[in-house]
Amino acid sequence: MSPQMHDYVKLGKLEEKALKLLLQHGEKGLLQSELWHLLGITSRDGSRVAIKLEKRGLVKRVKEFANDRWTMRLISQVKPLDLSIIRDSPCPPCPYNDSCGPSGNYSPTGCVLIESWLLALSGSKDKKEEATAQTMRA
Amino acid sequence: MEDYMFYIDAEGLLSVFRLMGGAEAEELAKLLLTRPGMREDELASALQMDVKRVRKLLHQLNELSLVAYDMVVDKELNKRVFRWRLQQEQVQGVVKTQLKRIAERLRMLKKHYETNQLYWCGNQGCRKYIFDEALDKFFKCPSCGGRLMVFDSTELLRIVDEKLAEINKLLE
Repeated sequence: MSPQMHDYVKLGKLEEKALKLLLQHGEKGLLQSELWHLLGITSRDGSRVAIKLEKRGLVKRVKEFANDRWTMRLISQVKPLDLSIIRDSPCPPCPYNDSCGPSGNYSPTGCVLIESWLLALSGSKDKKEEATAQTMRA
Repeated sequence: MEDYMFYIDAEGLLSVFRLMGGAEAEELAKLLLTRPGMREDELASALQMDVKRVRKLLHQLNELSLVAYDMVVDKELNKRVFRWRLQQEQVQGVVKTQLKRIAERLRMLKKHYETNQLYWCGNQGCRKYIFDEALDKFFKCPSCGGRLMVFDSTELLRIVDEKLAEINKLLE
């Protein structure tokens, strides 16, 4: 992957790695020392990374007393983008996307595509549950 | 301080393009991500696509503010050319807008299913009708001619609720 390809929220590789680790730990976050340990870097480099991420509004640093000393807990302020919940939704590429809805000229209540999408979701979920049940039985 | 809601990496960025314009848009975005400032003809030859199709796709993405162009005069070709680039700073907004719109529509559908008895012929491509509409059509589907029967929307309502909860959680 080329450097330009690296990121939308333009971060260095270390910052990106740190943020991904924090995203994995959700609302609980990680203590600074835990993060440095996971990243395999010194506390000095680690502090720089944390400050950079905080300045960009991507993490929050909260003071915490842990292991007999005051330290900082890093908590992610962003969510990972998960578009799977609207995957295959007919709305985004629809030509009536701008004018469909409560204040638009078109209503989703008569839209066959959105209903088919929902019915397909119901079908795929049933299939998934069936497959899981079969695996459990096996 | 910048205001981000989602952490969007390169893969996430491409998934937004895929969602908005399909596989072709994703391929186009992949190219523009590594080589911003490409012309339409350059993009078309790199993607082995018809230049008209590329232009249509670019304008479609431009309307969504996902790509932008700079118009420059090419002295060699002696004509105006458009150099395209991704508008990465707009992606957060586009994603949020799409999620909000879908949630809004799902809320409308939920209300519709809750307040109306629906009639359907059972054909996937045909729409469902409320009682008055079905009565006007003598309970015969105008698209396929099938008989309009009472449709139990419980399952659809369950899916709508589930999707709404997922989207609201993401937008929280």
